[in-house]
Amino acid sequence: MARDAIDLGESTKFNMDDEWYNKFCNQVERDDKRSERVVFSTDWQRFLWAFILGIFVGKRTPIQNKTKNPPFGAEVFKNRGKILKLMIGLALQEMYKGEPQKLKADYEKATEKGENLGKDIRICIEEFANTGFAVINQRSKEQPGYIENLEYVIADILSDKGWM
Amino acid sequence: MEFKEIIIKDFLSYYGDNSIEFSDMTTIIIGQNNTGKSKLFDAINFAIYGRIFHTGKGVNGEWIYDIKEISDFILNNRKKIEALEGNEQTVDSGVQLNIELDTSYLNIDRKVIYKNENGSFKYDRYEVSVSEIDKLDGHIISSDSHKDDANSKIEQYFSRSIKDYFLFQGEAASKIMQLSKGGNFSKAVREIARLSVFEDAKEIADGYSKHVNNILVRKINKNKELAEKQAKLQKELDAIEEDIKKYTEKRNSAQSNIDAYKEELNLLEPKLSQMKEFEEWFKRKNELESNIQKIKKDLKNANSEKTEIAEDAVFYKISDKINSFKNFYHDLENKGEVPPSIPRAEIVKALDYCRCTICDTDLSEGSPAREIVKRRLPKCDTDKLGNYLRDLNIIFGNMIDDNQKVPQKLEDILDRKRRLEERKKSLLEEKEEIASQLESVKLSEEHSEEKKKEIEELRKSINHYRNLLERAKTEFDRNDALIEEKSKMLQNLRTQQVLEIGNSSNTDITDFERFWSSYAPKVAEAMEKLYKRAHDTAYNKVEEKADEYYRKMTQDNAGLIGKIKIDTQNSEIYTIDENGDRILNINQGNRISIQLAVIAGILTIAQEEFGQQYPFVTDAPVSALGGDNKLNTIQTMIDAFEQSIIVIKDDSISKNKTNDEIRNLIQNSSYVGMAYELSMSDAQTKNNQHTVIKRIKG
Repeated sequence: MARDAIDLGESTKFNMDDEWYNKFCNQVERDDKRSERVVFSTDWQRFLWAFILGIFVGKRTPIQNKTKNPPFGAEVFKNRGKILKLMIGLALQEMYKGEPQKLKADYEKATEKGENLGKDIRICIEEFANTGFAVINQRSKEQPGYIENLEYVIADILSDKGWM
Repeated sequence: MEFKEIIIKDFLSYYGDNSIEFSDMTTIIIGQNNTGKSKLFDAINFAIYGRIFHTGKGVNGEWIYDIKEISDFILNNRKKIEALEGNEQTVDSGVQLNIELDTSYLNIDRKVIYKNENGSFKYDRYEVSVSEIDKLDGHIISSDSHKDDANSKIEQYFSRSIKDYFLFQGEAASKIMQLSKGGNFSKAVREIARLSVFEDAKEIADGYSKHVNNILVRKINKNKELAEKQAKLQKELDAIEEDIKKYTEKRNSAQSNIDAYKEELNLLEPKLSQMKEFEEWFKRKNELESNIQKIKKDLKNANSEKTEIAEDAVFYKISDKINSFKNFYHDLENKGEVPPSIPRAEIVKALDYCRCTICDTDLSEGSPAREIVKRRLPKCDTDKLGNYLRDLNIIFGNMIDDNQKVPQKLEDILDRKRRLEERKKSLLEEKEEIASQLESVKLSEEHSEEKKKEIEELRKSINHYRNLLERAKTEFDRNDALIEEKSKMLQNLRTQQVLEIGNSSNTDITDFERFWSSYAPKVAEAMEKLYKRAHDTAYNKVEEKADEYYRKMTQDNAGLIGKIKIDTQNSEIYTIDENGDRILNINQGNRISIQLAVIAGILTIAQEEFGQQYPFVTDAPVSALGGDNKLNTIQTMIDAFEQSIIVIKDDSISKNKTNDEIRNLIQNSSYVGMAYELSMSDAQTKNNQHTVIKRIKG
């Protein structure tokens, strides 16, 4: 099957800061009612929310201390192509804000090298998510139970306010 | 008449001599299950009527009168053991009841004496004695120690026909509510209304009529022609009378069947009614279980909506960025970075024709459009980035549309979740309530199947008896109609007979005889009418009074409406609504209220008629009545009777607060002169336990 013009690669893993990995991912909920209360019940969902919050804030934060075992990769989005494309689109928009023509040049440059823009975009997504995790961290301090509580998250989605 | 004191000696659960004094107003005796409440009631019954209620006999228990049968189990166990250990040769078990009459005191002493035979006590003899002592000077007016004399003396004061009414045993209620001819209820009313006077008068008039007729027949026989005519008439009369007799037997047999089937139904229907409540609870419980499961499923579904939030709705947070993608894309497009994806062959064709085959743009040589098209020619349908960006633009466009729906969608999710949680909470509360209801009737889940089967069996039996009852009623009505028809024929023939005698020229017949031959049947008829009127009046009075009490008992319960109806036609007592229609599906509590109201009604009328005040002693399941009904019922009994003795279950250890209200009533009501609390003594074995009486008021 022909690959897309922008392809993150099937084996790509999304990196994240070790701090956020330990704090927000791979958490085994001991409470058997977990499914009843956790809104973003899987790691990629939390990652997506972090990414969106990062985009909302409009800030990329380079990852300082990559976790050894990134919890998920592009395979998660295999059946969620629309979501991944929205993330890529948003990343492109941020990367080429004010200079869209550079996109084609970069693309052609990468193509000549037999690559595509996938790596740059993945890093962009990771850095926005890195900012977002900081937002979630702060929000969790202000409001314990945030991320698990549907009401809080919905209020956050509908709110036009940020926390950074 | 007032009960003053009862002394119970080694009788049933009462060990040694136990004295209970009664207030001249109301005495309330409370006790938990198996503490001697019903035994006290038995003691009063034993003293007056020599009977006790045996709960183990029959379907709902029965009164037993046979003294040998009674003697088998009235001797107190502890006494029996101690007496055997002490090698006593005789022991006795019995009751003394002291009653105050208008001018005297009546002391009843009834006991069974046992003899030690080879290490066990056997019935030896039975003694009943009654003495009447003058109130003023204390002299003995009469003293009967012979059993029969003593019982006759007691009967002078305590009518047997109303014994079950002033000594009311709840469990025997269905029997005393029998309205049919010969039933307890009709016997009581018959006595109250002195219906026997009219019955006797009718019998005398009928007898005299026959006597005069016999004389006439003898005289008529002398006149051959008249004798023949009369003989013919008489033959017809005899045939009709024979028919009437035959139909009456059939009707009576149908009536006995009706009584028997009703008695069965009276036993079965309350049971089913009680079981129905269980059934309702089980049904409700199952419904709740399934609703709770459904809610859990719905909540689970609601949780899957969280995933939806995670996958779609989150993009609403960055609606501005989603919207701005369109501008970003347009910028790219404007700068020619997003070429239209047109198949190469189409572009070549357009350049050949110098005109775009899609948008009709001029592509002639030298035109700017031709230059652009030419530039894109090598890349056109292989321009992946263009295609990709175009695809992104479509996805973002769709997301813009989707985002508009997000606020409402999220509100709906929250609302649905709130409603589901509220519903779940209320279902769980309801479930707990049902569980406690089931707990209160000591009905655990594992019994449900058993109970269902029992309900099924009860239904079958009830249907069976209802069918039989219907058939018996039809049979009764058919024979009743035949009797009426034959009676009319009989009446006509008799009139004819009398007329012929009157018109005859037989001079032997005196005017007096002529007069009686026509007058006696009229007297009998008049007596029958008077009987009917007295009968109806008595029933109406009882019904009116019962209804008055019923209203008082249920005044605070808006759910209990209706008027008491004593239906002599169908031999039933029930309540009717404002349209006169029978109220069906009454529960156990309501049934008890109706019974108590009717009993209070009968007793009030009896008191008015006999000029004798009876103390009202009840061991009715008043505890089964609901909160306000219970207190109102007790209050109604207090109001209705000069002296009342109420035995009631003490359930203050359960969560039911009503009992505390009864204790409050005991403490605060000036009508409650005395109150006792019964409990069981501490003992190593059950055989050594006995009733302990504690006076808590008075």
